[in-house]
Amino acid sequence: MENRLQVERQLRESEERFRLLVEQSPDAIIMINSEGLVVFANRTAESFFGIERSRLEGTHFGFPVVGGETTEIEVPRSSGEMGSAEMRVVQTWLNQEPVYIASLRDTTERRAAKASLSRLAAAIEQAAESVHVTDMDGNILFANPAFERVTGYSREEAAGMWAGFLRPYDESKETYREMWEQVLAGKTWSGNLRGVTRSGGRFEVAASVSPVWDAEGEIASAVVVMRDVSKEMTLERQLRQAQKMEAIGTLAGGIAHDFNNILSAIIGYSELTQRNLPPESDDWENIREVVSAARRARDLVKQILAFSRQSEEEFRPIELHLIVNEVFKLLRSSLPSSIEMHQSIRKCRPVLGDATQLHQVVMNLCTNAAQAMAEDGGELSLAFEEVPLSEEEIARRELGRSDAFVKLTVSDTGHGIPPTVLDRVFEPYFTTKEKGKGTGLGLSVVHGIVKGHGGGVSVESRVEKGTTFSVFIPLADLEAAESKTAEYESPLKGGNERILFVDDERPLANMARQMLEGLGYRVEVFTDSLEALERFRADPDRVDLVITDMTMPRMTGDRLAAEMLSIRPDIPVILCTGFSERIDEPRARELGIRAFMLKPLISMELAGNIRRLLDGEAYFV
Amino acid sequence: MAESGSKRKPHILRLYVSGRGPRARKAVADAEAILASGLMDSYALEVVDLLNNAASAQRDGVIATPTLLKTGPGSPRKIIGDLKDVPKILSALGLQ
Repeated sequence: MENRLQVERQLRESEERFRLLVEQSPDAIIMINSEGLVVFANRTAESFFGIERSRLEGTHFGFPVVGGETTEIEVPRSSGEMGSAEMRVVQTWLNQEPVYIASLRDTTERRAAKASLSRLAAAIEQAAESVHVTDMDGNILFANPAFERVTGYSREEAAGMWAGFLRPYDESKETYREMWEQVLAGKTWSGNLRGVTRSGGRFEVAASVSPVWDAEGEIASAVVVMRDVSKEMTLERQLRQAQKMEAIGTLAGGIAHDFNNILSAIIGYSELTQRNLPPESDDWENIREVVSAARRARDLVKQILAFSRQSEEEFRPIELHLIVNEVFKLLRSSLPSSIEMHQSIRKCRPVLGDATQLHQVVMNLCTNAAQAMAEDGGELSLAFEEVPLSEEEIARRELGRSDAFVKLTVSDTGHGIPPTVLDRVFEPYFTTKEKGKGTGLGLSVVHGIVKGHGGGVSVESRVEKGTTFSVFIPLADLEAAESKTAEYESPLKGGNERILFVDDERPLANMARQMLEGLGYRVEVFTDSLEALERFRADPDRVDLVITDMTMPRMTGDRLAAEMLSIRPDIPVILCTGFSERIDEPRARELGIRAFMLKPLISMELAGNIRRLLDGEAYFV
Repeated sequence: MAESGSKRKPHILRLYVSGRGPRARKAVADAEAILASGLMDSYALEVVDLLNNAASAQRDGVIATPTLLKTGPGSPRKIIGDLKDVPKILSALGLQ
């Protein structure tokens, strides 16, 4: 009896131990009989299902089935949210009846954390910003796809590498030292960093580097977030450069206008003084030198005005390939044989522009190229073609609106331009040439003229390899251009008529004779306006056209023209003037002068004007 | 969840799921595979979203998902958990 009582006590104690174990379990435990009814539920099951144990026991739960060891089930909570559990099922026997013991481990929080982690991972994977994580030695542990886009290195390549491989050799180590100091101090470092891509190109990023703490509160790694700002930085540099050029242009233009007035006075009064001096005397020659020097100064002023885009512009549709061809031919005959010349000039649709200015652009670029190869020779290549440009390219180059552009490329294989001064080549008075070999205005004039035509100019150069200048000019509006280009004639059209040319400067007179005779005309040249007038008076019908300089001793060009027109009113007269000595149009018309031209005379323009006048056009240029 | 039952079939196999997530979609696919086994030609599948049909779930005594319910003929059977093992499920439903 005593034994039985002891066995019963031990059994109760054993039952109590197992009940305690089951009751204290963090998992919900339920026992289901062969009909699917819950016959036992522990305390955790009560809270897990949100159902009182007395009600839960007796509920028709169903037969629990698991595929492998566990299966995931979802349980609605009284809060309206869904809970989740990992269900494990054991089938056993109780009182010769099969029973199922299901233990349910709450995975609601783990699933929420996993979902949150997945969202975070997806966000980093899909972020536009480059993200990489390094250990505290700077070795890359992880990089996202944007990192590949910015640096060109695949994530696999980057993993395990020291992040310093992205740093360009010329970047200050100080920046990186400061960055790590901040991170080690538990702070975030922000700033711009430059880097080198896998292909050797450069990139620029706005970066932030932050410490990452582990569970023990130690800084275990650093997260680097980089936004590629290469384009923004390029645009910013371009804007700064454009603003600088604009400011220089405004300043130079203002000075040039005032200086022009001063030069006009110097030239005017010198010429007045010269008139009262005996020709060929020492003083006469001295004044002649003053005027000559002042004229050179005026040419410089003209170039400054062209740079600052304040000179008067007359835009017409121009077939630019004709000008490019003309410059090419001119250079081929004048450059030394050590410079080999290549050309690829295509006939393009017209651009709207000023022929003289565009001629100067081509000429300046080619002269520069030739000078870069003056010592050792080389190759000068001239290419001209129509190019379509994307919207992005047009914006980047700050070009005017157009469907298409012509592109002029002038390349040399000369000494190249060092990267340190490449940004400055379009600034006025900036030159790398020896003293006396360049004014430093050539490229600034090119820049000014091209900008004035709604175009853009860029330069690429490698030291000891050569330089390439690319000029883009927008094509003229087609409809407008078509109606006007018909008027545009071949610039070097000649004839066999008789021309009387008057200029007191013998070298200029001789140059004009050569130029006009080259076009087939019969030319008589005079350096004395009175002698010219006498010749004309003797046989006015033996002259078909008169070209006269404005500023001449004894008798000025306008007076000479008036005298000649009083003898023969239909004689076409072209009056040549300097930049600051233009006479106004009503006055010229009143005198009967048909055209005036700005010196120095450009063969193309002069040839065109002569032909128009001889062909009877009532043309006033 | 749309019902995919057919009026011509006299018996219903009702599947309770929660929402339209990947778990719910997998349970539906498993249930369709059970119906396609050839032993349940007279059954149509009815899918019920427990989140939108609390009253129906209470009526059927469903407290977790996925739960598959065979209401007839014969004694009703309810299965809860993984439905991918077709022979095991058919056996639990009393059809094998």
